[in-house]
Amino acid sequence: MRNLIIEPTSKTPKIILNADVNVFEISGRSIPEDSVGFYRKVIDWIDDYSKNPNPKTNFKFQLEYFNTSSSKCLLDVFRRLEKMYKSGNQVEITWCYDADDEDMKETGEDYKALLEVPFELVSI
Amino acid sequence: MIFNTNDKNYHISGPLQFSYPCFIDMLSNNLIFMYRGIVTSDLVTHVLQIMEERLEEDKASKKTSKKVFNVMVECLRNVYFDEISEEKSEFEATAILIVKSEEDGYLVSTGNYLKNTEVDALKNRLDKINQMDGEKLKVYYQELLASPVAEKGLSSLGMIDIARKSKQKIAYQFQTVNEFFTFFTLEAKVIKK
Repeated sequence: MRNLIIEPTSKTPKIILNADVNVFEISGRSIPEDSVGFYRKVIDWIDDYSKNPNPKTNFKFQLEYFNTSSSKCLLDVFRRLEKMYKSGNQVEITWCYDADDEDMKETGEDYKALLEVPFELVSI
Repeated sequence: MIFNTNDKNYHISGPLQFSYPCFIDMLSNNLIFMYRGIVTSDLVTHVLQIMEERLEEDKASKKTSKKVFNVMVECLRNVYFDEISEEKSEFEATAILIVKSEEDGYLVSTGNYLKNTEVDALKNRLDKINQMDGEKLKVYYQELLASPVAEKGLSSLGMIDIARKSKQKIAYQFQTVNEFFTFFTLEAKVIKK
């Protein structure tokens, strides 16, 4: 399948979804004008990937800041991963946050509370 | 025009008369950023870029800067004008953003005109959020995050975010301007760390 690589901009995060090397990462800031449109590409990619996923998928998130419409979209992304996990795949989410960024840690905890998929918070 | 241009407070006459009073006003109040105009998605990006430098000049810690950014993004969301989906006059779309550096924190303030008919619902949302403590805000945030919400819910989510990240009550004011419009001011404070 084709990989999804999107370079970061001042409004949108960097996306690396590379099944060949088993790297799945979303990092940077996320305040797009059209969050739903932006994350649609990610969700479509996951939908496609989940038809034939790698033996192990670790999805890494390392966000600087994001707006509330992005926070909804992120939950949609997590829900897709949760679905993959529930259908018997080995899926893990890693939520990285700056050691001194308690807000980003708290946001990670919010997501973790809402999801039934291995969700690890990592301070960096 | 809804304000009275005969009022001397609104009227600066003659050439070369604006800069100095405005400068003194901003300086004496420690206003590190001020913008009046339509708030679009691009504008938010530009404001953040400028604020990054302003906060650095003001020697804000990385931690504080991040919080100010987060709060600002959500405050601006409230006065944000979506050209595609919203039908607003230029008058309603125009907003003000002020960032003030105080000894113990940064005050982020936005203001814009609303229709009088929009006031009650907004006031109720703000009051509901202001009555909640940290734990209740967390539960409410998670609840709204997980529910399929429309625009109103997204706006509440943004306000909860402001309250949680600033760890303060959201200060607000509604000033009735005339029979159609009210000026809405929202203020959030980020304590310096």
